[in-house]
Amino acid sequence: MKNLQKYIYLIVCLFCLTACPTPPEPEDELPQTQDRFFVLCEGLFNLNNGTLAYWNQDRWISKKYFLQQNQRGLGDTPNDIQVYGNKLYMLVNVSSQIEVVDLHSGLSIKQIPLFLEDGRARQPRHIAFHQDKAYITCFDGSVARLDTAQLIIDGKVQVGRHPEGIAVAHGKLYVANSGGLDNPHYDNTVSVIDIASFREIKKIQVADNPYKVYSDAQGDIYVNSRGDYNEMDYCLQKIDSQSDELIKTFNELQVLNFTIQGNIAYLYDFDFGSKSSEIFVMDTQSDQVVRKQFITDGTIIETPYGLSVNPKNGDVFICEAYNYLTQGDVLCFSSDGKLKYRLSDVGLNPNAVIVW
Amino acid sequence: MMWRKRIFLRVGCLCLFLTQALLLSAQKDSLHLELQDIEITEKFSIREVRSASPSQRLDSKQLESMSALQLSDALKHFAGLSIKDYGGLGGMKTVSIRSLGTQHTGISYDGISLSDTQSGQIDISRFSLENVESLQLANGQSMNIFCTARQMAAAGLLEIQTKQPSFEAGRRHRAKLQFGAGSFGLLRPSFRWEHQLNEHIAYSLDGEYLYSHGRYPYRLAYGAAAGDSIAHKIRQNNHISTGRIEGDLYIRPDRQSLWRSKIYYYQSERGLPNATTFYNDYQNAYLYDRQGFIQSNYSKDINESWAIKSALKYQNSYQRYQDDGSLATRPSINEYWQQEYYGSFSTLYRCLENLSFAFNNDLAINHMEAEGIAHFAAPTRYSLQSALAGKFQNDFLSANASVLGSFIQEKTRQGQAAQHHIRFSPYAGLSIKPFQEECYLRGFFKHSFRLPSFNDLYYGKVGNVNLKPENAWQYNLGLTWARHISHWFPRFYISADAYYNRIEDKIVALPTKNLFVWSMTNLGRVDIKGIDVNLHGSLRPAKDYQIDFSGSYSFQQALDHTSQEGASGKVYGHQIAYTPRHSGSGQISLDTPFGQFSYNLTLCGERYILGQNIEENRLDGYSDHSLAYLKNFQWKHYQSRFKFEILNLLDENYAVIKYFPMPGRSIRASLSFSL
Repeated sequence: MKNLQKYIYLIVCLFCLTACPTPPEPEDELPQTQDRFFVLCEGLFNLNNGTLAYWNQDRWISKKYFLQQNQRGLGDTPNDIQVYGNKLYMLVNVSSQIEVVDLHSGLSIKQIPLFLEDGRARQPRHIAFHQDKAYITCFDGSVARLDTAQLIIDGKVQVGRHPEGIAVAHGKLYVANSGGLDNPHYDNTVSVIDIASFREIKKIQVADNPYKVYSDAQGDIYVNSRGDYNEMDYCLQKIDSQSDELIKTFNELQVLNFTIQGNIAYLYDFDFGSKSSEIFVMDTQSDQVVRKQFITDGTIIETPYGLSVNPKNGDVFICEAYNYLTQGDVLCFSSDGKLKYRLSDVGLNPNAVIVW
Repeated sequence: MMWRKRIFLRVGCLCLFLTQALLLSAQKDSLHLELQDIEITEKFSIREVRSASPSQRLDSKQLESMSALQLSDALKHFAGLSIKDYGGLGGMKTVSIRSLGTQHTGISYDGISLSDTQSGQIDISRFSLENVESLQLANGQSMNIFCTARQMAAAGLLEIQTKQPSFEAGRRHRAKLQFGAGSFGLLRPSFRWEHQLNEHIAYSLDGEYLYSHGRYPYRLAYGAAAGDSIAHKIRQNNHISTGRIEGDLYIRPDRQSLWRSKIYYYQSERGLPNATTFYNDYQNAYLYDRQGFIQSNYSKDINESWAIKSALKYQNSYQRYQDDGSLATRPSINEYWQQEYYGSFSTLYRCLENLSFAFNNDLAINHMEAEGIAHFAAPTRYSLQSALAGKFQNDFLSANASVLGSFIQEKTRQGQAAQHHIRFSPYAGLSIKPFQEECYLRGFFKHSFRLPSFNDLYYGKVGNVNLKPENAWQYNLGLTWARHISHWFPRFYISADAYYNRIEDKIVALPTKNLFVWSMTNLGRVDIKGIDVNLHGSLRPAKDYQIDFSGSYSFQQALDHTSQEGASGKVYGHQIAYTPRHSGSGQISLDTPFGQFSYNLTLCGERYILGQNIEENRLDGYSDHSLAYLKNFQWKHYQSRFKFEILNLLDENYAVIKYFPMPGRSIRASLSFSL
């Protein structure tokens, strides 16, 4: 009996020695900045862990600002965030809600559900604004119109399959119809919607699986397509918003994601196999790549997941998602491509930074 | 459909072969033998105490007192075994032994391993306990070397033994009817028929039907803090309707041989509820399953030294996944068919009284077809496994060792096939009794591997045909002690084991091609250290009163040691997802002349839902308590039994998998009559 006890004691001791939990890592030193912004983090599908982080100059007001202010989470997979007037608009894709939040208090003004008559979620994806109306692409193949004063949906127009990006130019909406849920039978059109009549007036054929749409200062429309998600399929195309014709295909550019600020486009390519990314800068007036490597100080991005420009000073925010399963970072670069600061562990899959 | 025709033909051939073999064996002269002798019962406690590898067992009596309806309910009482349970009767349930992962766990049904080459993991939600005689879990390998090679291939083996016919003196048949009902629309009628045709032949038929609408209430918390919103909701699209029918034929041509054949069919239709998504309750996905198999085992003691055993099996499974809620313009339906042809032949040679050797050989052919997946490879896997094993046993020492050779070849109808694999996996176990006391020191070492599943290899862009098998190394040291303490404390058993497991070349999904298409790679290393403690015993405080108790405790530290670089570095040294450090269970039952009362408890510590051990990913631990009352009585000339259970007594709102809530407090009752 004595022996037995001894053995048990020995084994327990042996394991306790090696079983100490890992100590929490110390928080990084926070930078001093002049910036005030929100970061939208998608979280992961089925985990209801989309978050809104709020940074003010030298500290996080909260990394879960929406939850903290409203005593409820944002929901499952928020995809897009925009500021219009004094309100913040967030589209929560899997929860199928538009969340309208007061910019100053962070309190939800209204949560607008988007469901079909048969109960299926419409799954909002991207949002654009024009003259007090918000236009929201939904995966059910439609664009919903939201009155930003009354906060009610007052219109709907059918477009192509599973629309993604949306942009406004010359009184028209340009919507990328991806057909992504029908993989590998993608859609390959951009719908043109006349805003005044709120009717689709044209479909322009582009490359397979178009994704984001932006207009530059001249009102030219740029759209990137992701094909069957092979790197060589990514491309960028340009549409003339006067004639609504496809006028250029940038065959030499592989664009997975991009954004445009004025006449400068920031674009990136990412090879999922080698984890190498290239972030480059294009002048949309000349349509020439002006810098092949945006980052000039050797900072390495493992997995770029979002790209935003600070309209106040031209700084570029890049969201780092790592392997999509660990907390991501936000990196702020000056317009000459040097890292100003990094904010670590913002949330899971940060995809957009909105400065205000 | 060509393949349907082919299956039909092959089933036909198999049946023909079986009947011929049966006739041949039936012609032999044989000794008279009562069929109840068929089951060779061994006092299990002895085997459990002496085993070189940890072995845990639940028999039908324990199962009955357990408030367990499904197999998964009972398995929660095994130390070191964790179950992923998506909630409700229809929710998927998989088991993992000592954090090795589901695919490393072998499950055998009446001596023949089950397989699912599509996913590599077996959803145990389809197994009820209705016809189960015993469950046995062996870590590493059991002491029985005379088994199939496949049973030796897994890192751990869960053996399900179904009930065998047994007859009261002077009777040649037995019938049982049972009806169960419970909360959330549970209805479960079942029957069993056993018949002894003559001294050599008996058969049984066993069937059950189960329905539950599964609409149970749960609380959905919209935040983790105390003041955050909570909604009271009802789980939707969680119904299940299943039926199972099973027939067994026992032929005992003579005292030295036994032929057991089984035909099994299972069908289910169930709603497939999503995670409980915030602000979106819409659910409309369904899963249909059909599975049938026919298997036959023959064993014969040729003489004092030699024995042989053979098995044949054909299995056909169909699964359909249908998502009517999808926004895809094409109907979202995927269909899968799997077939398995399996044969095994084992030889046992007892060269000395204490020393025996076995040579076990298995051949399996697995094929899969799919609809709804573009360019599906339609793979076929040929596996040949041979194991040479030896065992030495005397009063003070048991030792067994084996080496398993596996030869795997695959081909596909289109696209590249996976490379072939040749692997040798050793096992060695030793148990010694250093004192006169029934106390044993034991240890084992085992290498095993799991092959990439067909999904890992061929599923659209996710698949990666260059995958290597995932390797597992296990080292275990422990001790067991069993004792008859006194007349009123007739039985006490305790075991404690410490182990170290290592997983290398772990198959994990990573976005290597693009964000939407995560593909499988051999990247990952996990180091697992743990302790399992098990105890059980009986007390007899007075005549007609008996108390049985059991308990288990597990400590597991399963750390991700993949890489310190980049994203992997963020989880390096962290406990892997869904692995509690502490878990345990307890059970106590009291037999009285007024019936049996029992109390069950399962405990699980906190876990993390993702690899990063941070507050955001933490999932609270839980405890689940249940009570059961069981009464046997005579009604007219029927042996009758009444059972009543209260489950999740404290109405704890918990989840094993985050956002897949488990049912709260509920009740079940059943009544059965036997003749």
